Amino acid sequence: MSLIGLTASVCLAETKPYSPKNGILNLKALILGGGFRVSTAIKLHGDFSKYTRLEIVQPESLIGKDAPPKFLQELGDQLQSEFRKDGRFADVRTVNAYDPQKAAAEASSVAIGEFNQADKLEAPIRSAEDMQYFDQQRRDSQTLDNLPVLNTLVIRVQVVDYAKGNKLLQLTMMDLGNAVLTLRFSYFDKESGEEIGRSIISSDNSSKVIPSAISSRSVLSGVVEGLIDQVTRRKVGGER
Amino acid sequence: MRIQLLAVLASTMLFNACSWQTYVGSRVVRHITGAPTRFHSIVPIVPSKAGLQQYRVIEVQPLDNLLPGLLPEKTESYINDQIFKDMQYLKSRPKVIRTGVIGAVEDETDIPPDRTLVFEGYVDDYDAGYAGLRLAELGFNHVAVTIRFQLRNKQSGEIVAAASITSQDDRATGSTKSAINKIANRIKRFINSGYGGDQ
Repeated sequence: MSLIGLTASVCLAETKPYSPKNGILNLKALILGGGFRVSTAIKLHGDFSKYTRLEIVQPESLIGKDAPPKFLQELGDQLQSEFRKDGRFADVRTVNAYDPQKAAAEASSVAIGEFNQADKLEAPIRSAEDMQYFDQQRRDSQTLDNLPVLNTLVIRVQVVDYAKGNKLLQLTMMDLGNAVLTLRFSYFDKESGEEIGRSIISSDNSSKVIPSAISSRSVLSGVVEGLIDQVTRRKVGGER
Repeated sequence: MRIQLLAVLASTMLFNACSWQTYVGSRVVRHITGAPTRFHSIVPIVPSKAGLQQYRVIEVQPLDNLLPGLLPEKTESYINDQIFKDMQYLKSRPKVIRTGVIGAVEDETDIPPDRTLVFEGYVDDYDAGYAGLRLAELGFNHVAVTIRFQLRNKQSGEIVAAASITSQDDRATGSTKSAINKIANRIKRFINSGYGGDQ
């Protein structure tokens, strides 16, 4: 029974058309807070529909200790769980680091091919060094440290601004003591290391009806919603 | 319980939206408190090392624009100009010169590089917001500018001080220029504290 329910919900998730969100002015944000804005620094480009895997680089702070490690961990966990819940990527992981320059250098240096690509029939027989290189590639691909690179979207998360807020002041409903979070997201194609977009997503927890201090929405909900909206728009657009 | 909650919701909505007295009150409060500046210290100035007193030259480099599709060229120049201008008023008057800008005078100075600081940084965020929505007090609409910078010992490369400053403006009269001016002033005050001035 539960299997049928699960299948049905998966089917529904797949067939439900996606409607882009307006983070700046929407009823939910007015009532509960957690509105967001997206500023596009580098327009997202390329075909996002090809990405089946997502790697989120562990968020880093650009403001020193004002974004504490516990908060960064919470942010990374929430991003990962929301993308998993969204279900548009077959695999969602958090990775410790990603170096796009290294990826680009590796992509250009792999001239002799990949171990899992067949040579043409008329191609000359490969050398022993090539075979050893392919063996190494095969071994690397089987270890967990070397995750697959094909069709993988990497998102780098950097905290640009953060204020925890003051719950007592939030109860005055005068827009005082609001929490604010601003993040920079850089999107990379894992294989080539190319930056395929960059955006700033910011959110605060000011609301007009429910005091922010007791609202179920927070700054984290705002930025996560903003990020998922950005990626999903592009992915759905590519699938059409 | 549900009825009570609905009643609270309805009365809050009425209180917020339909009373002009509330609107005026909220506007006044917003005008006074609606332009906060958030300062995040990344590498604080260490007073035990005599702050920045030993540095007699500050080389101001143009900020790196991390928002190529967002920040107009004119505004970028304005930010760099404003920071340079405000740095002219530092306590104990170190020599402030500009590099990497068209028209900048490359100074031939006798002061050794170990007594020279390089000011460099990034424009991390820039958004002009929506003035109409700010007037109506609706939505997520504020002006926001964030600048991250560091002071580096020219010879050793040691980062002597670093910080990130965000200026936000929720007021209907808020503008990006006023936000930039506030940041430039805050940068000056931060560096000034290293020269024995007030922060």
